[in-house]
Order: sequence, then C-alpha cells, then structure tokens
Amino acid sequence: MKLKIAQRYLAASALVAIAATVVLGLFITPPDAVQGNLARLVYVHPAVAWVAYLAYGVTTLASSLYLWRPTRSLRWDRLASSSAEVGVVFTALTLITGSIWGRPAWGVWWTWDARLTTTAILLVLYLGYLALRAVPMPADKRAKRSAIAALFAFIDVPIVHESVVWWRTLHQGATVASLGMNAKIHGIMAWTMLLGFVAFTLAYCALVVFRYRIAQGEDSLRERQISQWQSERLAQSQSDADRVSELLDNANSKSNVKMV
Amino acid sequence: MRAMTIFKKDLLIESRSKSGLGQVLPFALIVLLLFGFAFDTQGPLMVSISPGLFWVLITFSSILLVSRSMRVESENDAVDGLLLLGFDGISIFVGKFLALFLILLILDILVGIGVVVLFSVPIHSFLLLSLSTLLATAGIGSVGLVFGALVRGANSSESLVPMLVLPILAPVVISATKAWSDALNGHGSIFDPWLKLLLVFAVVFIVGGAVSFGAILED
Amino acid sequence: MNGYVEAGYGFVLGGLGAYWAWLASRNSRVKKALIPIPVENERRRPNSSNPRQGER
Repeated sequence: MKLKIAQRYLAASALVAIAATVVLGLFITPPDAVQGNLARLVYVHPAVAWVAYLAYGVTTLASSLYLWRPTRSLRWDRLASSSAEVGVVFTALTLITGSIWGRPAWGVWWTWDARLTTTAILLVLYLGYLALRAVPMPADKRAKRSAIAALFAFIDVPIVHESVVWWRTLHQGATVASLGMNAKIHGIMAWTMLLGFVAFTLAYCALVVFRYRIAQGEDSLRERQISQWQSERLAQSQSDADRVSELLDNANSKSNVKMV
Repeated sequence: MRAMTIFKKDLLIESRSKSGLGQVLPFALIVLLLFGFAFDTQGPLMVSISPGLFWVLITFSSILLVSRSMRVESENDAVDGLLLLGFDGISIFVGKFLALFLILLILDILVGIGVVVLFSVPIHSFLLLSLSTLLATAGIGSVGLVFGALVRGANSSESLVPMLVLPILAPVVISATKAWSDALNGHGSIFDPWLKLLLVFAVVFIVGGAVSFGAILED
Repeated sequence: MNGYVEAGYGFVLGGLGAYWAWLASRNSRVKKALIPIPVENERRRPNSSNPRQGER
C-alpha cells in the first residue's frame, strides 16, 4: 500500500515536471543560435538517454544484490526486471528521438556513430534479458539465472562501446559527437534541460514502482494458483479415497449377503 | 583432470553423433555458396567483404553447435548427474569449453579454407589471421556456453540462445572482422589493436563463465 | 516549428503514455484476478451434492 501511495505522488510530480519541460522547451526558451528550433530536442533526448542508462544501472545493482547471499530476496529480482523493462522503453525512445534529431541535423535517419550503435546494441541486449525472463520457470530459478545474465550483459557494455568507438574512429573521424553538443547553453535553456532530467527521472521512478507492484501482484497470483491447484488435488484425492472405500464397502456387503 | 574427463566425454559425444559438425559444416558450406550467388565473386569486392561474411557465418553456425553442447547436458538432467558425481562448476566449464573450442576451430579452419578457395582471397598476415581466429573463437565459445546453460530447459531455447548471444558477441564480430581485414589487406601485425580487444573479451568471458558456471548449473 | 521537434516530443510523450496505459491494463487484470473468491474448503463427503471447487 505504501508503494501505491509513493507511485501516486511520483506519477503526479512526474506529470507536472514533464508538462513544465514541454511548455518551457517548446515555447518559452529561445531558439538556438546554430540549430534554431531543432535544438529544442536537447530538453528531452539527453534526459531520456540518461534514464535508459540509469535503468540498466539499477538492474545491474539489483541483480548483484540478489546474487549476494546475505541480501538475496525476490524483491531485488522484481526491481531488476521492472527497471530493465522501463529501461528498454526509454532506450527505444532514445533511439527514436536521436533518429528524429539526426535526420535534419545530419541529413540521415541513422548514422553508425559510436554512441548510437552502442545504444542500439544495448536495446537488443536487454530485450534478450526480458526474453529470458519470459521463459516459464520457478521464481527463484528465474531470478538467479536472469541476475547472472544481467551481470554478463553489463560487463559486455563497455567492451561493446570500446569496440564501436574504435570501429568508427579508426576509419573516419567522429563527425557527430561534436555537432550541437558543445554549444554553450545558458540561463533558461540550462534550467529547462535540468528540469527535463528531473522530470524523466521522476517518470522512471513512477513507472518502476508501478511495474514492481504488478510483478508483486503477479507473483502472489501465481502462488495462489499453486495453492489452489494443491487444494483441488487434495480434494480430488480425498473424494477418490472415499469412493474407493464406498466401493469396497459395497463389495463387502454383497459378499456378506452371499455368504449368508 | 576432472576437466579432461568432461573434455573427452564431449568429444566422444561429438564423434559419435551425426548432428554436430556433421550437420553444421554442410550448412556453412551451402551458405558460402549462397554468398557466392548473392554477391559478385570476382574482383576486389569479395576481398573487402569476405571477413565480414566469414565472421557472420561463423557466429551463426557456432550458435548451432554451442546450444547443442548445453542441450546434451540438460536432456535427462544429465548435468545433475555430473554434479552428483562431484564435478565442480569450474571443471565442467573448462572441459566443455575446451571441447567446444576444438570443434569450433575445426569449423573455422574448414570454412576459412572455403572462403579462401571459393572467393580467391589473398592472405597477407597469416599470424594475425590465426591469432584473431583463436581469440574470437574462444570468446564465442565461452559466451555460448554460459548462455546455453542459462536457458537450458526452456522450450524456446533454440531461438533464445541467438537472441541473447548475438548482441553480446557484437564486439567479437566487429573486432574479428576488422582484424581479418587488416590481415587480408596486408597492413596487419600481431600488434593489431583489434587483437587486444578480442583478448580482453575472451579473458573476461572465460573467467566469468568459469566463476559463475557452478552457480548457473545448480538451481 | 519544423515538424521534427514536435515529432520528437510526441514520440516521447506518446511512448511513455502508451507504456503507462499498458501497465495500467496489466495491473487491472492482475487486480481483478486477485479479488478474493470465497473458497469452500470443506471436504467433500461421498454422495454429497456440493459443487466441486471451481464449479458454480
């Protein structure tokens, strides 16, 4: 119940903050000197990307806490899965907004820039993690296996990043990273950007709490189903036993009649 | 020594079964031929794209072998038997890894010969070629074993293994392809930066796999 | 402005909204299933006309 209240407050404040970010970002802030109105994407895109990385960080942390015996609890497993799912949503949004920004800024929807490519691999990496979680398995088994998978995915990320950076830079200069990013940001623009980070982090928290509560509900639902099946089996076997003894009684009484 | 027992066991299974290399090699060969039909096999195009073709093909066919290697253990809960016999996670991992590594190397060599012969690719730095192949194969084998073990028992493990393993292997495909390009174009040396990356990847995943394998197997 | 900015904001807001809606539908499904149903846990006697569990 506490979580439900927390979720309500988080969701409400996220809603307000996002609304404020949108109003400030789209209407109040002045257009950028270099990119004009296009720069308004700077209030959402980096913030969404930050949340994606934050989400995977939380997944990694929760997974290691699950694997460490003194803190082993299905709560960490639920947190890891909730955070990963929200992270996948934010990663997809990062790629979409990046692509939308890239089209007018660079003339293409997609460029094999190191950061872009790493983010794309990150998306499929954690889609795989979610696919592994979707396999029906006992809860503790699934928790352990997916926690290990999450850790392997996490140690892979810096190697992926390194390889992609080399892959691009050894052949052509990094053309993308410098564009627009190094422009100095002042005053209200900086504050709006900061607000965007806060807003989407709040949205992340609200979503994770919501997803966590659903995971809780699904777990207790499964438990109840199992105990229901058990009691059904029990009742069934009881009635079978009754029936057998009934038949035996009948048989006995018949044979008694004969004998008499 | 326990690892050697597992190693021998896996090689024995491979030599007696017809569904390991016996199936994957023809598959790899037919894909090579299909590549030949799909691209113009004459001229410099083949030299520039054959490293990529080779490594994509190797990654895909390796996944078939890798998921097989763990399926052998999950069928009839054979792995529980191994654990009951007192084999620890590290020796099971090392034994299975070495056997898989050997099998994958045979695949590499035969497909590599196929690429060189069919696409008439010149080789300039054989040392770089073989070192990068060894390291990349070690990386593919270790990752495959770990994730094969993680999905064992799942009905959909055939499609789940590639979904999990391919993104993880992205750096291996990139680095091995680049190392091969360098080797084929003749400006490669054993100080090729891609070798370093392949080495790091292989070491990280072999050590990680060896450490975590016991925990993965007993659940 | 230029279409791209609006599209970017739209995708982010729409995406998050859609995800929230999906979670809400999942949540209501779970909640509905979790409403406690009175389960008659009495043992069935032979020849009794009690319904089996799960039957009405």
